[in-house]
Amino acid sequence: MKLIIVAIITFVGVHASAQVASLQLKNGWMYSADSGMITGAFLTIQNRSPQPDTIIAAIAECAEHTEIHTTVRNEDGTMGMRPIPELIVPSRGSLVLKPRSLHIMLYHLRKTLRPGDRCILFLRSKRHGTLKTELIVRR
Amino acid sequence: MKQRAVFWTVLVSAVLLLGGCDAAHPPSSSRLQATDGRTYNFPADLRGRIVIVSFIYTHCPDICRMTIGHLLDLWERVGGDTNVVFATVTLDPARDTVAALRQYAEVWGIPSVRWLLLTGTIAEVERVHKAFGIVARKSYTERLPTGESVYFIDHTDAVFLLDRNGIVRDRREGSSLDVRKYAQMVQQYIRGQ
Repeated sequence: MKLIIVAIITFVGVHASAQVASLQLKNGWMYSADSGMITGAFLTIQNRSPQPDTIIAAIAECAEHTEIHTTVRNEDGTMGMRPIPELIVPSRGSLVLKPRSLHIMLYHLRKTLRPGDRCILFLRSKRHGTLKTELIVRR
Repeated sequence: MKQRAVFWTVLVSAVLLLGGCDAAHPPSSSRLQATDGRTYNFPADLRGRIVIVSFIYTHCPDICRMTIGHLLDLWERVGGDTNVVFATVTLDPARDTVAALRQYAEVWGIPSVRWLLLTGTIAEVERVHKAFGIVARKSYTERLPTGESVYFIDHTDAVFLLDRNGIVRDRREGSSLDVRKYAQMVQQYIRGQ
């Protein structure tokens, strides 16, 4: 647990506060799940700056491990998920993470989260440093 | 008009056959354990009711969650009718024990009456998958910083409607289910048989 808190503080420590306003995290939510289980989180990343940005890491307070994932449809029609190293947020545009598409994967929840509960998510971007948002738990 | 009916019958039959289901015969059955504590010869033991069959695994955070979300909405529309049973079969019998499925049902608020979550031995569950034309295979394994490995499953995204004789009458993607239209179809089967 201490290690995680240090990791989050380090993550937040790279904060580029002057530029944060041009990259904003909105409408964050996640699926409910039991303690120890895996679940998905979703949000919109809005970039008002004239340059594209790249999200390179994610940490959620409520999960032991966090990754960026995408949902894929294989040639045989099956669906699955794959980790991806980064998310590109277009200049003066938005990137929407949503079900059946891009999402944040939360491994092993630290406690059971029911609808209405909240979890803090940090995303680290190349140009704007670390951003923080709150995920609201839905059914 | 008659030609149109024949066309649609042929089309639906072709789609079901391509998906691994025989439109004229019920899928073969297997012995599965359910969250209600009983063992079922599934799906044969559910004949006499309209059965909504779905496939999920509890470690699936996206597609299966969408499917369950839609099915919960569907339940609110048709679940009160005792002619309907929901049956959700695991795609991951190695991890999804009856206890794991019960826990999943509790988190999601899945009703404990007339909504069965089913698992069994790997062989029995795979027989059910085959009977419904479901593909489920391990895709990639994530190694967590703790050293633990977590695997994921690539799988068919499908929901089936079985009529009172156990014959598959409809198959479509569960994660993109149009609940309103699907509920109307379920109600037509309830009234029509």
